[in-house]
Amino acid sequence: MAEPITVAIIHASSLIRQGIVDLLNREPSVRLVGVFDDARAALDHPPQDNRIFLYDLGTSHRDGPALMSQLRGLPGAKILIFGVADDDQAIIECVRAGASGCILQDASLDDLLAAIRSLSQGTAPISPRVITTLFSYVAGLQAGDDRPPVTPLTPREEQILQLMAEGLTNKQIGQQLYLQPQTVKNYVHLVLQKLNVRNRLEIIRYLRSPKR
Amino acid sequence: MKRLRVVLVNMPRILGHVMRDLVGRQPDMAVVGEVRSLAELPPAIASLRSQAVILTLSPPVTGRSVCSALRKQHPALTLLGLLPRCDRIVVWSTTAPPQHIEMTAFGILVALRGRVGMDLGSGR
Repeated sequence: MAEPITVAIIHASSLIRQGIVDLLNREPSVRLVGVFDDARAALDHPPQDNRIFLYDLGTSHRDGPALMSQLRGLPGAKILIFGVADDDQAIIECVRAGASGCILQDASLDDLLAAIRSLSQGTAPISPRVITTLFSYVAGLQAGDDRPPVTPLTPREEQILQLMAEGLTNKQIGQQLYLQPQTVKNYVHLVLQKLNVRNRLEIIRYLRSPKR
Repeated sequence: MKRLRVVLVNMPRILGHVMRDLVGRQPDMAVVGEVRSLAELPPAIASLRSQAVILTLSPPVTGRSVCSALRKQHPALTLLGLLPRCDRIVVWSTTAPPQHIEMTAFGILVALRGRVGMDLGSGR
């Protein structure tokens, strides 16, 4: 029987992290060698060599590109980003960040396991959806267009946007995210500016529009 | 024992696996179905005789859009909205404003059992 593939998980959400641990622990072809809530913790206690880091995209946003780069520098480390939204910008972001592969948000557990196996054999796991995006991205580069498709919101701005969409006031958002009211106000202003909308009502319309 | 019948809605697949696994391990509840969109939910609630719904809130699916119709038709339904980016759950009840608690396995199970106010308060 082949040696199990060594995998470490990095995910900020304890619910999802523990859920994936429970699921992967039932897979004889996989051996979990680390479970971390961020890349800093993984770098402080690096598991053994030649492992695959299953790294959540949202968590990598919070950690920042510098930690991702350090993670990639660990001997034999391969990074498989998962939880990637089905949009061009998110996919390109994974490639730019130096991931060895990416798994879209709608991938099943079987897809995830297939990607882990593929990566352990040295082949980047790439779906037809991702290939399509990469081809048009490379074509754009050749045409001299290296700009990201839209102005991205930061992870914190995305959180603010989601809570605004839930109808929370600035005060309530501050309570949820442990932020001062003035800080929330500043973030709301930035979100409105980046989305080129004037108020919360227009945000709801924007979120429901097909261009989103 | 009579089990709480749970339906999952708008769930990314791996999160769906996690939720099915979590709920499936409880003796007093079971996932009886899963639908992709809110539009499919009302008939699913009726046909599956569901008593609880867990859905992922991700624009354009917002708590407001869920509550406006669903709460009127099914006032006794236990309704949980997951906000994965914020690591929060919104719990709706008939007697109090929506409560936000931390997105943990414990929080979900307490909310499904209808004991958020008693066991967790606001999750702080």
